[in-house]
Amino acid sequence: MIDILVDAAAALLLPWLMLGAIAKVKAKWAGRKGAPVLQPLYDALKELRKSQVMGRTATMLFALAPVVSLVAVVFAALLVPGPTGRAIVSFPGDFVLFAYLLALARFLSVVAALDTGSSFEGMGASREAFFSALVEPGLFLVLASTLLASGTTTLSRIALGIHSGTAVADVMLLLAALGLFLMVLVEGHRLPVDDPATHLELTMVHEVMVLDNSGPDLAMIGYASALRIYLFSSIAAALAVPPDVPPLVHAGGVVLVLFVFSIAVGLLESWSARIRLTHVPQLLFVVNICGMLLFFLALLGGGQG
Amino acid sequence: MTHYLYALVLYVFVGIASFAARRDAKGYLIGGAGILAAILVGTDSIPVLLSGVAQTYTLRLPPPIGTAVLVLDPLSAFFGMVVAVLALPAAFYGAGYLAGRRGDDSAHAVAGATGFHWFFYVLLVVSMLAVPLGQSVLPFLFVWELMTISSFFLVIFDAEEPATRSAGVHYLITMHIGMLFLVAGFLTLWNGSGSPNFAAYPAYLRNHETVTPVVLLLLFVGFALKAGFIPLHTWLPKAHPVAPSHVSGLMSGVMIKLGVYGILRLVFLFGPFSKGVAFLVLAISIVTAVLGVLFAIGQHDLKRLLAYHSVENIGIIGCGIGVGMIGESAGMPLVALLGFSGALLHVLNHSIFKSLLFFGAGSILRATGERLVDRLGGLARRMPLTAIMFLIGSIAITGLPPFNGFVSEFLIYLGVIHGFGAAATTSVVALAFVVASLALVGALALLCFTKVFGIVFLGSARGDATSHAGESNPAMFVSMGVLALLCAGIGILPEPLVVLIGGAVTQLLKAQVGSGLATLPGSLELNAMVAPLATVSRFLLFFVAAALVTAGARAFLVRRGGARRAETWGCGYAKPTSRMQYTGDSFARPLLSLVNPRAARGDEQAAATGLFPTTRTVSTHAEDPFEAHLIRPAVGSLVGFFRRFSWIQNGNLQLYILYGLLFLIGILVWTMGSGR
Repeated sequence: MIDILVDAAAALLLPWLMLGAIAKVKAKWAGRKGAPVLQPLYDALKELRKSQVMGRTATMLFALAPVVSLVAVVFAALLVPGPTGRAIVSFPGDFVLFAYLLALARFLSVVAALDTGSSFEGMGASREAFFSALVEPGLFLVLASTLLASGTTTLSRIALGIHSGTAVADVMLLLAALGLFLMVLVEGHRLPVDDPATHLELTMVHEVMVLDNSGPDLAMIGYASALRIYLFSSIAAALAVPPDVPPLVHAGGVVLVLFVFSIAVGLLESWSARIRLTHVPQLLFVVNICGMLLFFLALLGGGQG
Repeated sequence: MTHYLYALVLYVFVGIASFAARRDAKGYLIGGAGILAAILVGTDSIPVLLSGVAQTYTLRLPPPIGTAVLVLDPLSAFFGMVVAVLALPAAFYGAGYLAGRRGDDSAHAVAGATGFHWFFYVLLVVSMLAVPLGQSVLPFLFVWELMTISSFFLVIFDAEEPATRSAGVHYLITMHIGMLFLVAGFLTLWNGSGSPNFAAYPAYLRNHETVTPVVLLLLFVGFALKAGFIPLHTWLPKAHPVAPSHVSGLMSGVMIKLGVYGILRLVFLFGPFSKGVAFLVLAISIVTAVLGVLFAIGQHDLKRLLAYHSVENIGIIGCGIGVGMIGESAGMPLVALLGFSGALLHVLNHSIFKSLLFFGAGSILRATGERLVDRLGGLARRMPLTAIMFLIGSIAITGLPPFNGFVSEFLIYLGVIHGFGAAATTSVVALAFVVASLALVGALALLCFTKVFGIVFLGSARGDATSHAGESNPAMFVSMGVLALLCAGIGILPEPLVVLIGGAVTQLLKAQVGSGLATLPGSLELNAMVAPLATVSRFLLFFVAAALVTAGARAFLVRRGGARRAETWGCGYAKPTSRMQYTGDSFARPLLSLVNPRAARGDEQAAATGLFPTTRTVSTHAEDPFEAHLIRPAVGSLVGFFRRFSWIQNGNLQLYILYGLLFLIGILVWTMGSGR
């Protein structure tokens, strides 16, 4: 019971802290003081109180899509191991449900973007669908390879393979971390895949899809986006932290990994601009390569597979 | 098994009686009879699925057919149920779709006449119900051919269009090429073993190892042509768009599954097969699934797009069959159970949501007269119920929870994960290919269906076609509604159905002669299949409840904060028009240019030139590369070769009489010569 509460509290608070940490890192690198770390949360709470404007072409789908997307991402969070090391819900094959719930959220947000009848949102929707199609096989291969290496079938026990002490375990951890970090960039819509700070259509994928959302919808979309960053970092943390340490140490390790990921995203955003749109697929293909390499390492003797 | 046969007789009787009914009432009559027939089929099939005991019936027919052995085993029962149940919405939808259609006085009166149309519809359903029963060569081939002929007449219903006629003839010829392969395979078996009954063939093939690959390949090609595996799929995107929508739904949903039935019958009759055969099946299925969805993304015609998605889903079913075969060859009963169960469940699921999508496309076609996606838009405000049901179908076909597409794909993924424990490295690598391909196919299907749904139903109208659109008539949207409810029902509460299918697969694996499985799937494996689904089901029920609660909370917040409507943000453009919206082509362009860089170069010709550019016209068409580079050159050279002999047919009656005379003289000489 305590575990569930801890995991739930972490999922409610840590995503905002990660967003805030990323913004703080960017500010510090630029020589500024930066907004408070919880500023994204304050913004979301403010938006919940604001009024809403909907386009004239929009149907009820536009109103419902952010809600159902958010609920889908929240339920996907139930399947991911949190700071306690175990997920709230786990069963054989849960990584499939996890990925497909995120896909449901993406489907609805893309369709809602097309509902506005604007070419900006259409552009963002097209790019979003395209980029996710490129990384989906890689994500599945990364997750399936960790399952193969651990000889298990659920996400809650994926760390067993990486920490079994074999020679290739460190390389596997590195590859999985790289793949999951790129997933954070794609799904969390950060540079160099997508620019969260501008509103120019040349650089936008996610921001342009939500151009017409306002009020409570925008708060829900913001939380869903933060939650996606948190989820993929959590999976990486579950892989990185050894499974047989005391609970407090485990939770501390997970928070440390999340912190490291936030700093890494922040630094990457400070150093790079959005790469050319035609080069983004090449970057995203690295996820597929990580997946394939990880699979072969898992097959050839990493872990207990 | 008598109830099943009574159902067939009932259908035939009603089919003939429908000639007497009023034109608009024929469909309802057949639908009503279909409900009774489905119940009859169910009373025979469900016990067989539950118990696994096959029922046999011997029919004495006049020569040359002789005795026909009809067997209702779990596989036949499952496919019989699928046909019987899916024929119902198609009949009622067809009644609504054809309502108000004026009589046909054209030269194509037989094909275009509603009476004959419904008669051939009944004939198609009867032949599809009879195919799973046949276990001897001649009755099976007879019913298979009946299926082809009746569907041909259904496809050319709009025969006044030349495109329909040519697509129909193409379809007929392709089906007969498949028939050729089936006849070759079956006749080899019959001739070699001396018996026309399928039951004798496994033993015969075991004694004649050299013939086995050839015969199996012939039969596989024949069935794969019907199912629509690549590269034998070219007839699908031609025939399904031109047929009326209830026929498209029936053909795409049910008829191509009978090709899958044939392949499954081969697997369970002659199996278990080695790893290599399983890899071959997987390779073909993966290629089919990936290429099917890639071709679909490039299409602008709504029904052609849906036809390519049928090809993709046949690939997914094939992946399930391949995973099951790997499970058999690796001696892992759980993997075999999961693979085959996932394939069978996907057969049912695809029938449901593909019919739903085709019916939606038919409603759109009937309301707007337009099939091209880029000429539509904003239909959700004019046809809200159709939009909701099309959305449900789109989410289901993408395989997303909480609808039924997710459940069957989940079973296949689960089979793959359990299969990772296999001893053979090659099997594990093949399974990894399955995972990556299914993930890719799912993501591409998401791209395609967000495009279709978004461009057709959302935004604002891109032309005038939608200005007179209205909601579909009750028969149409009730049939769609029933299918949508089935999608949701199977998605959220799949356990009873999965238990039924799991039991059937276990019985089929047990009945395989010389099973390669050391242990058959037992209650432990069945539980390992159903328990995760139970968790998923509870999870999704909570998900739906949470979504409703959160929607209520959002509505409360919006009412408190205030809401108003305004113009969509256009970044300050002075005169935005609906033609500035994204089109289907633009939505798919990033992916298509990655996959086929040559296609992107066509845009240069469309670019505006000069200081004061005038109107330019651009046309894009997506051609099937297999048809353009494989079929058409082959057919072309064949026709060219035969054209050299065209001088024989010169239309001169006197010359034809001379041919006849020469033939008679030749026969007389030969008979007298051999008589001596």
